Amino acid sequence: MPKIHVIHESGEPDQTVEFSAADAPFSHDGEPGSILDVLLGHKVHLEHACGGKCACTTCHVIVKEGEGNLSEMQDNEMDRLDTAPGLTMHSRLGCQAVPKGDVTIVIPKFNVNS
Amino acid sequence: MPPERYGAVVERIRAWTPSTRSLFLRPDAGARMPFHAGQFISLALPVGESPPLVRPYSLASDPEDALLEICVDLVPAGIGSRYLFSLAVGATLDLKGPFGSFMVDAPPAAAMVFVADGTGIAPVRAMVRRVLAHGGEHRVQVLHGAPTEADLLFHDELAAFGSHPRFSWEPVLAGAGAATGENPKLEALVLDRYVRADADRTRHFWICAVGDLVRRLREALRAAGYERRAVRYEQW
Ligand SMILES: Cc1cc2nc3c(=O)[nH]c(=O)nc-3n(C[C@H](O)[C@H](O)[C@H](O)COP(=O)(O)OP(=O)(O)OC[C@H]3O[C@@H](n4cnc5c(N)ncnc54)[C@H](O)[C@@H]3O)c2cc1C
Repeated sequence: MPKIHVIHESGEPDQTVEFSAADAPFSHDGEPGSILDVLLGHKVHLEHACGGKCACTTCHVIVKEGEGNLSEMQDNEMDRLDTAPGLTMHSRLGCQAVPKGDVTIVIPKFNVNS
Repeated sequence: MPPERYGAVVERIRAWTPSTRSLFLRPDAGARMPFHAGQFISLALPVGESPPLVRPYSLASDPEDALLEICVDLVPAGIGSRYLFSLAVGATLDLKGPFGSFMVDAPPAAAMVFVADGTGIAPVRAMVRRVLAHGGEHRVQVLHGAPTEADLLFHDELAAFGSHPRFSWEPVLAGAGAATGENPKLEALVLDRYVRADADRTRHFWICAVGDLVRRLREALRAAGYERRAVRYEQW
């Protein structure tokens, strides 16, 4: 089963969630099986001011490992990330990126939209 | 403008149709939330399997208005919208905002075309009011889709702006019973007028509606040669 390892830049302890993609969706919000959906369904908090509809960047995460295990980025995610504070080469939106294997992500301290 | 959390009271309710209403919200203690016209607020609703249920709503009001106005559709089997429809004047809400980049930050040096379907007119109404108040010389066009004339929110106000020399507002009616987000006439009009009719690709677009119509229009306009950043959208 794939795992999402979460590092909180805020200093909270790391968390790891193991999930079976076949059980998605795990919550109300984000693409089914996305990082946001999996984390919310396993009680790991990730901001999602737009309800996981790719209309803001509050679920911005930075992928440390396993980038190749994520679904490919679509236009709408690219357009939105364009406006994300603290954008990096390894940025994704949690509501859109769907893990197919293990990933390690950082939840930045500033994941509030400008 | 970093988002902040506010408590708010429903101060007034305006029913547009049996399934669409505006809620006018007053932030606690007379606080005023600074925002750009076109942005949205995020409501934390005490419903759903693991509350709060987070639902975004665009602001139809002007940043200078004392009350925040949101226009809400009652979505069949929708938990969040059903809750909002159950609220009476005096109810309280927990909100955070502002969010989003669907706005007019710098008035473009080109014609502006707003394409809205249904309640998608809410952020467009806010942006158009700002744009017209701030002068400029380029045309501002609004294509406003809805099933019937009775479903055109802000009808009178937008029609009255028609006297403004560089503004035009065109209702595009899909017909009674048309499903939300399905307006083939609106889609065809955009493509006929802005893709097939001429080679001008300098216009800037703001598109707001429910569902896949938004993606189709965005892709068609960009594929036709409009610059990526000149085609802005918000898909509900
Ligand atoms: C940035 C942003 C701004 C938004 N602004 C508004 C707004 O100003 N007014 C508003 O009514 N909604 C708005 N929405 C949609 C709103 O956030 C909710 O999705 C909607 O109220 C349905 O939530 P629900 O919990 O009732 O139903 P859910 O069960 O969550 O939704 C069911 C489905 O309803 C569809 N839907 C979403 N919005 C509408 C709608 N307005 N009419 C018909 N079907 C819809 C969607 O396809 C959704 O998948 C906005 C969405 C986004 C992303």
